[in-house]
Amino acid sequence: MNFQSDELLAKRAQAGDKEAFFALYNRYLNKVYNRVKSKIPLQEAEDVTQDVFIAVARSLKGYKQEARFNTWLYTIVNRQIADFYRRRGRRSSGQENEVDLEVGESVASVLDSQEIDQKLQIQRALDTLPEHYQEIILMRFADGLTFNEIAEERQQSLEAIKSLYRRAIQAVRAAMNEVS
Amino acid sequence: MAELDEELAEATDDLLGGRVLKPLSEDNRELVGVVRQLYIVIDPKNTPSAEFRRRLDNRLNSEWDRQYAPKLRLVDRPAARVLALAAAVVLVLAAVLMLAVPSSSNQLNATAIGFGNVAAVMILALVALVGAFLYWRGHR
Repeated sequence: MNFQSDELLAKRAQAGDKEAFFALYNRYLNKVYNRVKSKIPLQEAEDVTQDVFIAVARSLKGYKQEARFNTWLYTIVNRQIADFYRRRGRRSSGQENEVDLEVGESVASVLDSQEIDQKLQIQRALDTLPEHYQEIILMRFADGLTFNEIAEERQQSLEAIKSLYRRAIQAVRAAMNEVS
Repeated sequence: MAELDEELAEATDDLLGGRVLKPLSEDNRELVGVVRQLYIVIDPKNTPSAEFRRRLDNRLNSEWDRQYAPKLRLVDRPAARVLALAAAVVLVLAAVLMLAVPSSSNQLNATAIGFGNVAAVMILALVALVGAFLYWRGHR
């Protein structure tokens, strides 16, 4: 199949083309999963990823071509992440320390304790960053885009993107120092 | 400043590409540590498990069918359309037969047909027309 833009695939999917929908799903599954994983405990990441794609299937008819498809998709990702924390917040009645302990214990089979600490620290630091810093980090790490591709996507010069990236990393470092 | 931006971007590319890092300036050394930690948490090469993919594929297939598969109305179902056509044909035949009876039998009975039978024939014809219309709509 020839390469088709996200927007074209979305338009075809809106018209009921299942193949187009699954082409978008295959194109974005890893990116969505990695974005979710960057903010959600590992053992919950799959459930939230599933919620994202079900929400996409349900609300695709409402997608307006004025916005880029991935912008619309990542809005759904952020909403599902927020919903996850709202649900979890309700369950834990705001007892953050207990929640962190619970997260740490349940991931223990996958990561060692030092990695768990680092992961939680990084996740918290990322959450405190302004959105444009979060976005450039997620584009490079979660989406796996090169700096050139990011520059193209954001319609900015490569130099501007690299400068923004370095400021974002400095902001993570500052946030991590605050968190710890 | 631009050199530092360039150096950190290059170090990130090397790290994500699994290459050995070049010696870095002091300003970037600590930042690369942050990049390394980010890489542990969000590795772009990480993919969801095959089992999860299979589950999600199935779930999305059924969700898609629920959302987008055409919902057949009664008159759109092929069996219902054939039934409607058969009913229309039967009703038209019945109407024709009922109209034909007085002319073929004794003229004396003609008045016995009465107004009630004519009305029944008209109702049957109307029902037959509705049946034919539904069939036509289903085939449009």
